[in-house]
Amino acid sequence: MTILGQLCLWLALLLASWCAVVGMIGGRTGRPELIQSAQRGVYALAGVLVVASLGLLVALLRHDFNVSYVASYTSRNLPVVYTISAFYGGQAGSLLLWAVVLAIYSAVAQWMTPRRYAHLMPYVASITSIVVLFFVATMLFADNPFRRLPFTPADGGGLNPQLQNPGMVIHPPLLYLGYVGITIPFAFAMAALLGKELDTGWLHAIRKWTIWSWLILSIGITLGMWWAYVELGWGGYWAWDPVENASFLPWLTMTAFLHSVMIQEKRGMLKRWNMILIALSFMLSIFGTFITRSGIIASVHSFTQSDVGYFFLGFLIIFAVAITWLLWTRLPMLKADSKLESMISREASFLFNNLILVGMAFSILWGTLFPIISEWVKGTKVAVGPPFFNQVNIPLGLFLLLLTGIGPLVAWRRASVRNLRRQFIAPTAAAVVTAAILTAIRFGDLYAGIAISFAAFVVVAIGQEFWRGIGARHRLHGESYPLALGRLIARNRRRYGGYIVHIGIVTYFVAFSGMAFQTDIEASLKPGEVATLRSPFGHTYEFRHIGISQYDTANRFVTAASVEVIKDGVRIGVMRSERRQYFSESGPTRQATFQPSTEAGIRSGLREDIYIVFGGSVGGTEEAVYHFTINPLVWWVWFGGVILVLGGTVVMWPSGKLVVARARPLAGYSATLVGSNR
Amino acid sequence: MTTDISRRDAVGTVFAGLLPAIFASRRQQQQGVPAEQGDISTSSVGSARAAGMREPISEWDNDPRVIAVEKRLRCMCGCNQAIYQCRTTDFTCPLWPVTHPRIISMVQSGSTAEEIIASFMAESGEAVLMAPIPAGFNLTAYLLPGVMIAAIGSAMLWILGRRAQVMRAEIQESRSDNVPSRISSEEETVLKEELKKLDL
Repeated sequence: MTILGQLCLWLALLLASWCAVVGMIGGRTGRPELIQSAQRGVYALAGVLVVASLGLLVALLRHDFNVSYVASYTSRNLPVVYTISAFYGGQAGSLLLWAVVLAIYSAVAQWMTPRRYAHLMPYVASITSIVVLFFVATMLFADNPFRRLPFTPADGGGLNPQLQNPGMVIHPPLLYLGYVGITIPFAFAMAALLGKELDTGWLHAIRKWTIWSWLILSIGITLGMWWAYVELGWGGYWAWDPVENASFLPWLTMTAFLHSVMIQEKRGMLKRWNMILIALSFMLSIFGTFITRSGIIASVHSFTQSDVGYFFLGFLIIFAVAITWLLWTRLPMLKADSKLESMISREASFLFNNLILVGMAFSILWGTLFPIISEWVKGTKVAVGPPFFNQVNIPLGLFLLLLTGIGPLVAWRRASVRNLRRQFIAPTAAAVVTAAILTAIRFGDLYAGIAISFAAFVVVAIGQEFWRGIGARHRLHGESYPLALGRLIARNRRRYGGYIVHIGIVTYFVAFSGMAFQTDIEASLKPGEVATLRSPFGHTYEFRHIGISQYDTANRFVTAASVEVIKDGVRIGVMRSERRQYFSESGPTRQATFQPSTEAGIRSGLREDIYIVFGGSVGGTEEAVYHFTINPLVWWVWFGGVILVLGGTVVMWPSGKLVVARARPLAGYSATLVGSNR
Repeated sequence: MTTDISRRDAVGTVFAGLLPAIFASRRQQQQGVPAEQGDISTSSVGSARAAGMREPISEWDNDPRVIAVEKRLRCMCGCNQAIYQCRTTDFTCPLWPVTHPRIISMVQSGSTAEEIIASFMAESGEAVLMAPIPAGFNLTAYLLPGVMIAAIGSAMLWILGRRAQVMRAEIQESRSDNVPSRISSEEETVLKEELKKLDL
């Protein structure tokens, strides 16, 4: 199967080259045979890459240790689920995953896109094939997943223990699905530029793709946070690590795009800006992959440093030049259909939302790259860690949170004073009352207090929108309130689904603010001894050490330390934290693989999580060293993710109606009349 | 992630063999066997590695002054974390067992946080800090994003404000030329109802 996989990669190289060239020529000349050939080529490309992927999967499952990749990332005693997830546990496999996911996406786009966008499709085939070509070429010439060893080891090195976690089975593929998904809207945007078809048609064609990639990227990032929380053992879920930042950057620009694209659809404005945003999102998704693989920045998540980084750098430079040229030559065609009428309008609030989102992306990119920039400029290395990112980005994030509430309240085109008063009075009152209560109870953290007050503003603003909509339906159609709610959402999924997503974002912010009140203590306890910790919610926790046990299971030795947890004098259960030493077996001997790892004991609650890490044994006795942490509101991070998914699903849910691919006629009468006078 | 277990489960597994394991581990280290590749054909060595050897925790380990300093200093082991996070998370790190006692002894001897940080910087440079000092070129790291957002925001306000002004003037002009300036109250009611239906 690996020979077949290798052959498929070469075939994919030829097919991708063919599709790239034929698609471009077909798009320019309009020759149907070339267009059809490009389309069929895209299907074939997906097929051969699926076969190549199956080849690697079979090699992994058969423990074919003659394949370097299989020997490097698996071992005989690795559970099957992690043997499968080792597919993307290493660099070469993850490149193959990128290529196959993109090829499948590309085929689905060719297959599912309505015929009215047919003029864009050859270019889309060409652009996606160029990106696939890049990934296949990188595999073949820099890091081949099917490379064979001159000998066959008895066993493999095994998978990094930190990757042996259910979160790591799901998180990377979802992140890739999101990352790679950005390529499709990008390809449509470039197709619109190449074909000079710059009406709103391409925007309608990519609507679902944009939301899909954004949503999946959001889930991927949240799952990454969950994995970091349960697996890394430091008690947090976001460390502003360069690789975490790299996943966050395209999310920010995609979020900006999702908002600004509405202005283009409704008012025909921001055409250039939207092109820049989608190109930026694509480039940042590649940049994230570059950071992970080049080793230019130290990160706990990075793959080994290799030549692959140069391939990515080259690709980024070539694409940046090509996109800039394309945009420059098409600038005159990207003129706005209408102008901003007032600074107090939804368009303006979306513009400021875009400014903050892109500003945050810039500040994170700047901070991530600053160690390299500093070394170039000053010749000295500096580290840029969480204190820096928090200092710079928390104020921006809070402003963004406020805009999340303001945006939906302001009318399109121009808001009147009456409109503003009617819309803002309740949310502002909610924010002021919340702030007053927090001040009265001497809430300990300024930023957290602002976040919660702004959250109250946004929740009331959105609640008000729902309430007015339900009330209007109830009055107009005589519907019951639950039915009115259901139909309200069903009639305008994009708007109300978007509001649900906003509630998810608010939930995230409130949960993040909880971390300002994290409390922890280290203790070494003999059996029966107790450590005490007071939580921010005023509960007193006692941790009574029970003992240490040792055993071996599957592919690891485990040392487990157990504590009885007592909350306000009431026993709530026993928790356990482990230290694990993974091993591989070659014949009668066992070889320790990797450094020992830690598994935190976590008990989640709506208010706070108890997080216990077993640090080790004192002098080989049953005296255990523990790190006890109380993390407030962490559960709400995951719950925020669920709300976000719910909202995203509402937005994406098929309406069953045919969407007409024509620009909406502009509302009102003034713009047309002014134009006609000239 | 592990969850609650019963007490019987927790203590049920045999703990015997830990001490011999430690001796085996020490012997292994003395013989120069690399830590990552140690032979664990007997379970004892592996269990010793899994158990991890620690010194008992003293009150200085939880001292707020020590923790405050350790949260500002980066562990240079490559974990990218502050010393405090590394020492409470990564129990295989070879560096914090050296730096942590040093910070404690400096706090005990009355050194201030700034003095301790300065002493670490004198040895390892600015890279030992979790965030660059906000001075000189480093100021660009802190200020550039905010300055850019403020500058672009101000420019946006100015340009868009002017455009909006021009647009309003054009609308006024077109209204006076071609269309009635007001719609009747009846028309307004009908329009509002239709808009409501459209949106709901």
